[in-house]
Amino acid sequence: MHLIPQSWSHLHILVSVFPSVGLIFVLGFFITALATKNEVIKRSCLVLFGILALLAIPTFLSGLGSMELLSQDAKISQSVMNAHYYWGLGALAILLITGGYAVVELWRVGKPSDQALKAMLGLAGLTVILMIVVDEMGWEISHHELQRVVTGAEAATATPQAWSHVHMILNHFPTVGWVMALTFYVIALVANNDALKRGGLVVFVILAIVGVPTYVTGAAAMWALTVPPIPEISKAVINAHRDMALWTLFGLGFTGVTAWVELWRYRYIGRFSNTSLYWVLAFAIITLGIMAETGHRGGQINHPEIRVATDVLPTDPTAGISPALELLINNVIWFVPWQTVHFFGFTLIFATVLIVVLRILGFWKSVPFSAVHRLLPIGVVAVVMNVFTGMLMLLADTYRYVVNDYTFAPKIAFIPIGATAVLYFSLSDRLWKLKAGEDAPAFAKAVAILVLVCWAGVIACGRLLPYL
Amino acid sequence: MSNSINILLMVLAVNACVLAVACAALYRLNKAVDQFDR
Repeated sequence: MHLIPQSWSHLHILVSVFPSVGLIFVLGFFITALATKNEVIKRSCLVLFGILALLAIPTFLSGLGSMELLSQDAKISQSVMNAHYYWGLGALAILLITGGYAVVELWRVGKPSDQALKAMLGLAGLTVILMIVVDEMGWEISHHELQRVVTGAEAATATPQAWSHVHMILNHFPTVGWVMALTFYVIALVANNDALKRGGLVVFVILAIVGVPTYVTGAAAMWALTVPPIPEISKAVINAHRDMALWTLFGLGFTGVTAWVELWRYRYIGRFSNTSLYWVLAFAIITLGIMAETGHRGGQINHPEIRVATDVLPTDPTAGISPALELLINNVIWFVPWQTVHFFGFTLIFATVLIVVLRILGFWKSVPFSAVHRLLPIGVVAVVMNVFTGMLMLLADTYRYVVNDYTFAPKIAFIPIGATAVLYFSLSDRLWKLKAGEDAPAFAKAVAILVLVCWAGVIACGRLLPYL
Repeated sequence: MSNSINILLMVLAVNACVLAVACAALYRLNKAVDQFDR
């Protein structure tokens, strides 16, 4: 990986994701700060609005440089590039106003008024909406495979390009989101602010959950790009990206679980353990490094414009960890044991979910919520078991799962919804204070039903895989 | 027949290892909060 981009296009691909995807995360923290009236988070967000606004400058300049370079390519549509340019100009201008306003208010009055904060919220929200349009147009410029229509006999075996599109959107969240979460987390550690520490840990957990559909859509995108083959796309380069994605999944898993354990333990001890917080930081930094390399290898798949003469791309499609694992797991002696672990995993998840959900819905009211809260680690450990055994089973026949099995996509969609909703059980103050004999709030009951439906859906869709 | 026994042994070995690690992790977590629980 070359740490310093050596072309305008490369710089543009790297920098442009921060004013768009990065802004979504800052906006999320900003809304949390306004809702909880936390001054440290508010100030951190205002500074980050300013930094993202500054990034508008290299984004614009690298965009101009890329346009000049890409306009020589006959395959690139000038009209799409112009539309991307003008919409991007509008979005960056509003971002500059938002960031400038935030920094000036912070510097002038120190503590901006509620009206000023609401105005910044509106401007940042508008920037995000415009950025979504700009990003879509940006992908249209060089990702022509998204428009590919396969006809004739090959259509029967082709994978919909929608998978590639979804992967392209999803993979920016764990990567860019990680940088933003890490930034907030470091601020939290320096400022010793518990609310911000909590926010950072929550985002690490959510991004670890998002890692699952990102990995799965990546496997589907691989088939969409290779069957039938696209001449300029190499399976060997995809495999190199896939190998790194596997390590990323481990990194996300380690950081996400360590972060969740700290959030869970906080409930009992009433303070964060510095040792654990620094373990989370160490895991997060290592994961960021792995993710940067994964992203770089992913970019090399279909961005010839960022390659440099010294780049040596892999050429052997059978080399690497993923193809070796595919071969190994296809052997029944390796597949069946991991499948058995997977079944143990989902029984543990469903048992934990059922007990917690039934208490929230009004069964066993004699039990305080804190008693069932202690069972949550069983479900989380089981989720980790199942993510990794599921990933191994997926490797046995990715094509069949993602292309031929109709219940695979809903199964993968249910997992992050169910897992994120379970996070609510770990964090909710109102639930934690629920004493024996008390009824849970209506919102908690709604989440409980959602959780039950999602995990029942995961199991049902998983069981139906061989048949539908 | 010998293949079936091999599969069974692998199932037992893999599950025993994974579940032992899971149980150890859960035991330590549970113990860590025991003294603080209400």
